[in-house]
Amino acid sequence: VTNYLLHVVILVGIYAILASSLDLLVGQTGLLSLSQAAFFGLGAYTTAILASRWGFSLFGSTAIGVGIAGVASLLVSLPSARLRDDYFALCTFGLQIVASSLFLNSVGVTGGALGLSGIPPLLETSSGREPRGREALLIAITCTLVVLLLERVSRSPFGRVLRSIREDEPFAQSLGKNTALSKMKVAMLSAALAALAGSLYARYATYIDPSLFAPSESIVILSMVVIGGLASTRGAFVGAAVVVGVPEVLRFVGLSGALAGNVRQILYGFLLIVTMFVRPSGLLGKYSLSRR
Amino acid sequence: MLRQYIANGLVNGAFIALVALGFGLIYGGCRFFAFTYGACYTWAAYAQLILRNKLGAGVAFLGGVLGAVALGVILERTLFLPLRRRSEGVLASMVVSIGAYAVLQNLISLGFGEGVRSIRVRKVTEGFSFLEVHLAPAQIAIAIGSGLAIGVVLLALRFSMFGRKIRAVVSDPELAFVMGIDVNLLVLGMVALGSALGGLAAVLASYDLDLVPTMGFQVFLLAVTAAIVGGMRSFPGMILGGFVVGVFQQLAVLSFSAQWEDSAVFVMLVVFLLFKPEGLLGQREVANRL
Repeated sequence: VTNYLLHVVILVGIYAILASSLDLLVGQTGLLSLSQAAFFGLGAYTTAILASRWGFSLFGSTAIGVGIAGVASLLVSLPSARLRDDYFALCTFGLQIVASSLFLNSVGVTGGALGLSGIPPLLETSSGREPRGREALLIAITCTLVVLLLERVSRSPFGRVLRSIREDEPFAQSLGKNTALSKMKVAMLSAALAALAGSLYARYATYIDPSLFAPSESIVILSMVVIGGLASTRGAFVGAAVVVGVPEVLRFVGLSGALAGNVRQILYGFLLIVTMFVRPSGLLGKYSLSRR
Repeated sequence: MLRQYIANGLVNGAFIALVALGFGLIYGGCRFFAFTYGACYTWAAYAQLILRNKLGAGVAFLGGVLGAVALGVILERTLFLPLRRRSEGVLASMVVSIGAYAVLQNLISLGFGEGVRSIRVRKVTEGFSFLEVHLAPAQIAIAIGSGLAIGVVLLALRFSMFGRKIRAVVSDPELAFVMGIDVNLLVLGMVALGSALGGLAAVLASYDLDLVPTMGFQVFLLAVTAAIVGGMRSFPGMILGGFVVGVFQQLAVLSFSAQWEDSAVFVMLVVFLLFKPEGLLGQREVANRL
């Protein structure tokens, strides 16, 4: 039972990093991006391939995955400089679909629909014991570092520029702020954190397949942020806990397999609608999409 | 060989033009990317599937179209009109429509399973050949049905009072309101007509293709792409966009392979959004860009 609880805690931690990476864009900067699952996947596949084929260490494979995602984020910063709200969202969704198709169809690199298995685990087991406790500790430390980083970004002058872009971009420009550059930086940071979450996930699960990084997953990540609350790191953690917790509760009441998948999606969709109507800023949010 | 692909592309294009026109009518009224359009499409196809076994093809045809209309109207009145009344922004409406889409699609999955359903005629039929181009009867039905519906709607938009009011609301909702048009009622009419076109497309497509719960999502994205490529503000533009996307998709199949056809379309979507967001026939609209 302890192991199972630790497993849920680890998953919540990884998805909380992912959700807070998206919150940087949606909550802090007001950019509704629908391509976060693609960066999550980029980190996961990079780590999986580097670690299992060339024996890269945890740190090395993660660092390279994060770097690649940071460079790929330029694909998101270009539309962020040119398109407003919903056109930006649509453009990132287009990119997400192309990325998913690459994950699915580049069979030689990603293993196609079967995915990649046998990825070296997060921590080596010295004895036969399951290392869940130490893995949970590692994830907890990483989460803490990410939270500290995000708090720092949010309080810094850079964070204030991001919020000014969210509230009134032409005004920020009139004060001489280079908003396009700031959006490029925040997209890079967001992609890097998503890839960090992806690398940790690949190492923890030791198995990945394209369904984890599908367009519908980008929507699930958005649900975490919207339900938990925008522009709030605590909100992202609560959202991740809700969204990761739902399938576990469903399993508890005896729903599993494809049926549980459908019920899960229906619940997320329903929660999204209810949130937007009843409490548009989410549970702990400081900002709501309805202001745009 | 090339000729065959272009013919397939044109049939495909007529179909995409039909769904793009339906989507464009809804967008013109609601002003956000309504993901629920995809759900109306899927529900129409499955409504037809149920009715066909019990009441025959004719009733099923009508039932599919009317099912899409009913769903579209209910969603507009219960979700999107209240959001507009509270003057929530486009992003809030879009997020709600994403949530509603997820609910509606997974309800179909729960009811019918994730697997493939089919009402296609399994019997191999002769079809129709002309100038080394072969078209199956279902393809001809799709082309004729789409063409007729598009023609009727375009004429109505051009010459009827309803059509004039629609164009007034699309170009400037506030001015239309000042001129005494009941904008909310007209938007409801546009949603109903748009959903009807989506439902018609679903019914026609199911003569040729299998039914899966996710079918509407792909069609929604094709419709959005065609509308962006042709121009969000121009109904003839959307139709042109449909044919461009349809032919482009087939040429992508010819030059790469079938598994890349969707990617090719979405690369086209991204390129148009970035470099020509007003589309081929649309007027440059400053508001869409920064």
